[in-house]
Amino acid sequence: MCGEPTKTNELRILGGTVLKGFTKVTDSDLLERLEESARENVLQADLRIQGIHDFGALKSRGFGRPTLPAHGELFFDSRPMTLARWPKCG
Amino acid sequence: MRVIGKHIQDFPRETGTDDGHGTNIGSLEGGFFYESDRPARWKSKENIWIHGYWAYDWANSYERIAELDVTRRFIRTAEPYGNYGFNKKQRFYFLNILEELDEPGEWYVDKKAGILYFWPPSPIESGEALFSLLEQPLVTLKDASHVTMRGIVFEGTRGNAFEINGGEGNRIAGCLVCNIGDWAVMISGGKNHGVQSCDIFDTGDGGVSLEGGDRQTLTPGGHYVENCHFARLGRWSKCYVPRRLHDWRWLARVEQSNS
Repeated sequence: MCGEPTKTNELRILGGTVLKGFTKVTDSDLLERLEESARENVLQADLRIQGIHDFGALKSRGFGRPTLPAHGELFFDSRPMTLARWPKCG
Repeated sequence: MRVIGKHIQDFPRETGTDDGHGTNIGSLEGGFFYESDRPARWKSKENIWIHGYWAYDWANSYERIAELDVTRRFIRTAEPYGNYGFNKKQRFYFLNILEELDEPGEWYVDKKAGILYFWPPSPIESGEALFSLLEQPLVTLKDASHVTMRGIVFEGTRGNAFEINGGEGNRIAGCLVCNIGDWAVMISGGKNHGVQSCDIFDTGDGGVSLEGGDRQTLTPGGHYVENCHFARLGRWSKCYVPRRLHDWRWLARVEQSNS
């Protein structure tokens, strides 16, 4: 957990880490698994070299389930991103 | 063409029972059949999850797939399986699949390699990518009194943002609490604690839970929520978590609702 001032000098208390070191995907086996339209656009970041070893785990959540910590989630520009899914809506 | 949800096509005949309301539903342990060949494209079948409203539209859950048979188009989930049973035509979707990372804003972690894949919705250098880690509350106040937290951003965590137990007169004021894995604020016991003029966005479970007072003597707890803006709560637990509250004062307890 770390606190840092924002552009407006507000104090931010974060329960996560700001990721760095995004690069294009070059592994050919991995590119093969992606849709053609995604290959140029998907980036990758090595979490372990940034000190992240606990990626969290998805859990059975929802109606009648206990409250459990979420898995590690990605937020970009302070909005939740979408864990890759199919279909996209519904 | 966008596909809107998938549907439970059927369940093994021998697992069907009457749900007590005249509908034949399949047992949770028995799994269900789906209607697409798309999962056959997925190279890894490990740690794929499904979200669905398995029997009724008011009870959702996320479940891990224990068995995915792409030939029979059959899914068996891991315990606790789902809710009530599998009802034909109920909707669900698959998540946590690398091959389906094909739109801006989607991401996936290969846990073995320790690599996160992400298609940023705008150039990566234009924004901040934050990965949540902490499973304990960002702030815990236990039997503490007269603490005010004002004008602070609390953001990006796996658990609750605030847990306040016991004590008196603590206040969260003018704060932004967002991108929280569970609840923004859990207040239990004590008296006169409150959340005032805060923005509370994008929580995984509910927004603010207040519990206090004494039912036997009808003594009010005095906890309050006032002048707050709530949006996009219940990202993960979509049913029966309080989603929108504005000015609620002098409550003994906020009952959970689906509204």
